This record gives sequence, C-alpha cells and structure tokens, in this order.
Amino acid sequence: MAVRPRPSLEPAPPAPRRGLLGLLHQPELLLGLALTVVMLLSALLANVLFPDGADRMDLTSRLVPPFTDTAHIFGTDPIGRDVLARVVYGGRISLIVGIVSVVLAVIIGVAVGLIAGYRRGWVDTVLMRLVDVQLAFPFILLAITVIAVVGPGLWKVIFVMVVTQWVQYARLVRGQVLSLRERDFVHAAQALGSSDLRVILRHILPNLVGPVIVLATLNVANNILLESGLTFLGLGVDPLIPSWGGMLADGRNYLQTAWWVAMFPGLAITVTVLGFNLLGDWLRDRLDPLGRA
Amino acid sequence: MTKYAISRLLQALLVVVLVTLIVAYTVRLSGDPAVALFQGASAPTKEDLERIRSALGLDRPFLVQYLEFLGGFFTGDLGTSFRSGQPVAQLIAERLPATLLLAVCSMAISLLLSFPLGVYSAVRKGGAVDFWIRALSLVGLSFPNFWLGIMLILLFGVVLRWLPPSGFEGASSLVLPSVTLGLILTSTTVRILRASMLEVLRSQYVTVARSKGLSERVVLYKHALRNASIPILTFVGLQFGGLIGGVVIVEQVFAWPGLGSLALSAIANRDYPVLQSTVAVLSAVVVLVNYLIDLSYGLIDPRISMES
Repeated sequence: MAVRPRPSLEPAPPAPRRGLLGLLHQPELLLGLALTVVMLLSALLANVLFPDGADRMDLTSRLVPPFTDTAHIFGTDPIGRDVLARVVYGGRISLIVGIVSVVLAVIIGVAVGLIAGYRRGWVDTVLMRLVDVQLAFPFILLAITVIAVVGPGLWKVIFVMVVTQWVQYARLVRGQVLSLRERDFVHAAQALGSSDLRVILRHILPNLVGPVIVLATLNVANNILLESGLTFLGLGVDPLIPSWGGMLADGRNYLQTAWWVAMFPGLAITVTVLGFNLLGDWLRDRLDPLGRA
Repeated sequence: MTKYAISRLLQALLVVVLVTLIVAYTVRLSGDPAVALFQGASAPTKEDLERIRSALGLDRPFLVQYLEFLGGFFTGDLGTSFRSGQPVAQLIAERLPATLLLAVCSMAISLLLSFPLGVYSAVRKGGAVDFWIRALSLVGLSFPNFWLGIMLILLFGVVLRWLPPSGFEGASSLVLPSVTLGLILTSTTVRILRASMLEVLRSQYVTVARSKGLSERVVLYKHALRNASIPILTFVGLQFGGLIGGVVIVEQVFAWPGLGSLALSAIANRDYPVLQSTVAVLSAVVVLVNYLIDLSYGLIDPRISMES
C-alpha cells in the first residue's frame, strides 16, 4: 500500500540486509527472537528437561540457595521443590494465556471490525460505544468483577482477556477499513463484480495484517503481565499449578529468608515480556510505520 | 466552550452509567450472598435464605436494585456493607484518599522523570544517553509492577532497612509504593514523549523558529514541548486507567489501605454493595480524569476548537 513519504532532510536509513547475516545488524530483533524462542522452547520441552515434574518435594534439601548445588541451580523453596523446574513449568501457563487469549481476541475483533467498517450500521454504532466503555474501564477492575463471579482458573482468565480486548482489534480494523473501502483498488474490484466477501478477504484483509500483528505481539507481552498479576492476587490460575504469578505470591512470604523464591519467577516474567516487546517494536517499525496499532 | 464541556460531560456520564450497569449485573451473577452470610450450625433452610435475601433487598427485580444503586451513586448513598453493616459510602470515603494519594504521587514521579528524560532523549537522538534511556524504558515496560515492588521491599525494607516494608505509617510508607508505580509509568511515558518530541522537532514551524534565530531553549520549550504535550496528555489520561489497575495490585503488595484492598476483600465476602460501589467509584475517577484532560486541550493549544 502506498505510504506517502514524509519530506525529510535526514539521509534515508541504509537498506536492511537480508538473511542470517542481516539479523546480526539488528540487535533488537536478534535479542527479541532469542528471548522468545528460548522461553517457548523451554516451556515446550518442560517434561524433557524436568521429567520429574515441578512438584517433586525433596524435604532433605529445603531452601537451598541458588548457584550452590548443581542439582538445583536456582535453589529450592521451603518445601524442597526445585525453583528452576517450577519456573520452566510455570512458563507454560504464562505463554498459553498470553498467546491463546490474543489469538481468540484477534479472530473476534478482526471479524467485527471488518463488518463494522465495511457495512457500518448498528454493528458500528454498538462497537463505538463499547470502545468508549472499554477505554474507561480499568482492566484489572473488570477482571476482578468477572473473576468474583466465575471464580479463578486458567480458561476463565483467558475468557476475561478475550472479552475485554477484542474491542481493541475491532477498533483498529474498523478505522483501517473505513479508509481502505474508499480506495481505488477496492472500487475496481467491486466494479468488476467481486462479492463483498471476496473484496473483504482478497483486497481489504491483506492490507490489515501489519498493524494487527503489531498490536497482537505487544498484547501477548501485556497479557503475560496481566495473568501473573491476577494470579498474584489469587484471582488467576489455580495456586496449586506452578505459575510465575503464583510463585511470586508464595515467595513474598519468604523474602527475609529465601529471596530467590520470588526473584527467579519475576525475572522469567520480565525476560519473556521483554522478548515480545522487542519483537513488537521491531515489527512496528517494519509493518506499521505510521504507528496505527 | 461551555457547550462542548456540557456535551462531553453528558458522554462521560453515559459511560459511568454503562460501567455501573455492567458491574452491578456481573456482580449479581456471582453466587448467592445469602449462603455466604448465613451463620448457623446446620445448613441453611430455604426459609433462612429467603429471610436473608429479603432483608438485603435481593428479592427485588434487578432493574429496581440497579436504579436504586445508580440513584445512590450520584447522591452519595451507597447502601450498607453486607458483611460489616457499615455504610458503604463511609468505607469508601475512608479508603479513597489513600488510593488517590498513591495514584497522584506515582503520576507526579513519572512526569518529573519522563519530561527531562524524554526531551533529552529526543534532542540527542542516536546518542549514548538516548540508547540507555530507550533500553531501560523497554526493560521497565516489561517489569511486573508487583515484582518491582517486592524487590524494592527486599532491598530497602529488608536488607538496608531504610524504609518501612509495608503498611501506612506516615510519609515514609508512601515512598516505596509510589516509586514502584512511578517507575513503571515512567517507562511508557518516556517512550511516548520521545516519539512525540521527535515528530514535532521535524515540523516546519520548528525549522522556521530556528531560522528566525531564536535560541534553542526557546525553540525547545516554547515551540516544541508545548505542541508535543497534546499527545502526552491524551496518553496520560489513557494511562490513568492502567495506573488505577496497577494501584489495586501494588496496594496488595504493600498492605496499603486503599480501595483496591477493599475490593479484594469484598470479593472474598461476596459483599455486593462494597464491590460494586468500589469498582464504580474507581471507574468514575478514571472517566473524570479523562474528561478534565479533554477540556484542558483548548487551554494548551488554542487551535483546538471546542465548538465542533
């Protein structure tokens, strides 16, 4: 799509190199990819890395400090569970919540946004009022209210995120469709007798992918933070399942004696979220130069 | 201006009405408070539950209950707590100042840090300081606020013992929670400020101002910063919602006696009146802040017409 270049006296940035060699010249992308890939792989391979699971208690080695015992690199918690194993298994929860919630919200939001922007009418009116409400309603408060009703749980947390976040994608897509539907290539397709569905899928949708991917990537980061926050408050994932938020809530009680129990899950959250944020920033520069997402 | 202010106020009120409607409805879907409140040796009989429900007014239609709540919300009568029997308005009045104090101090810390850092980063774009400001703000953006809080408690409360680790014991208690929230806020605000300053510095009026021979100081502060402030204000308004969410979590970390901890205990007790009023009051604060920010645009940028 044509983006009018901004008149500028600054020299154009050098064209990025392609291939693996080009990756070395983009430290942000390299770091972002490295962090997310490591986190995804360790979550996927959790049962290969730690076949005993995350709940095995070894009461003979409780509260082992980190980096003192090769069997427990990140140390152990007050009931002798390996902190590294729990961090690795906990990553599954965070990544499942972050990715699944975003995928579902994207599907719903893009569909509604396409209809609202292309057809206008009542869908559009209702959507815009929902946008107003969503902007005024702090997510945590809505989540607290809904979790108070349905109770905590992995899928319920995902449900709350989808219900509150699809509006963001719908709003983004709607705005794009409103301008795209007046473009010549869309009018041309319509004049050639393409059905509405074909126009939307073949001509409008491909032009939306960039900003949606950018918003989605940044929201994976955001939702990992939200999930851990809710679980920390006791409103997220079941406290018996190892999760980063749950480990932090737990570790807070042993700050005086065992700082590492709260340190490593927090570090894991930061590293994972940083990875997705780096990717999102890089994608924004590439796919969404106008910063619409 | 007046016309605009009134029409925006009506929109804001509509949003508050919608938010309270969602909250009141959702809260009533959660189990039966009569079961939670029943105190007796044996399981409650049907009559026991009926009695509790009618005493609490829960046997009336939802719409009646909601309209009563909405009327009370605007007149300050929020009913009484199911659990303690105290007036909800009084409970909220006791807790609201602590929450607002925390929110305002965090916002102040974030603005005091963001403006110099963001402006410097934009003016010296590509330099070493810019690199570190950008890198640190991206890391800060990725920090869970409650973890930062816990680590600050560990360092300043447990190891160094400079500051009280939690609770509400005078001004020193305010430092750790507001620095926690302030630092997280700063990392997002710096990024927006930098981007918006860069945008403005590229504009023609800045070039004109420079070519007139104005000092760089005047160009920066009078021409650039003022114009860069509009997107920042909008953003601060949007962030305020997130800040209130952060306050709820951070209050829990620091045992801060604010509305967040009130809401969390209300969930545990199925205390509808307290929960719905707390959430409604916090949302209304967010709507009000955004409304005031909307009105302030005209003061910062006279080109923005308030008539349309």
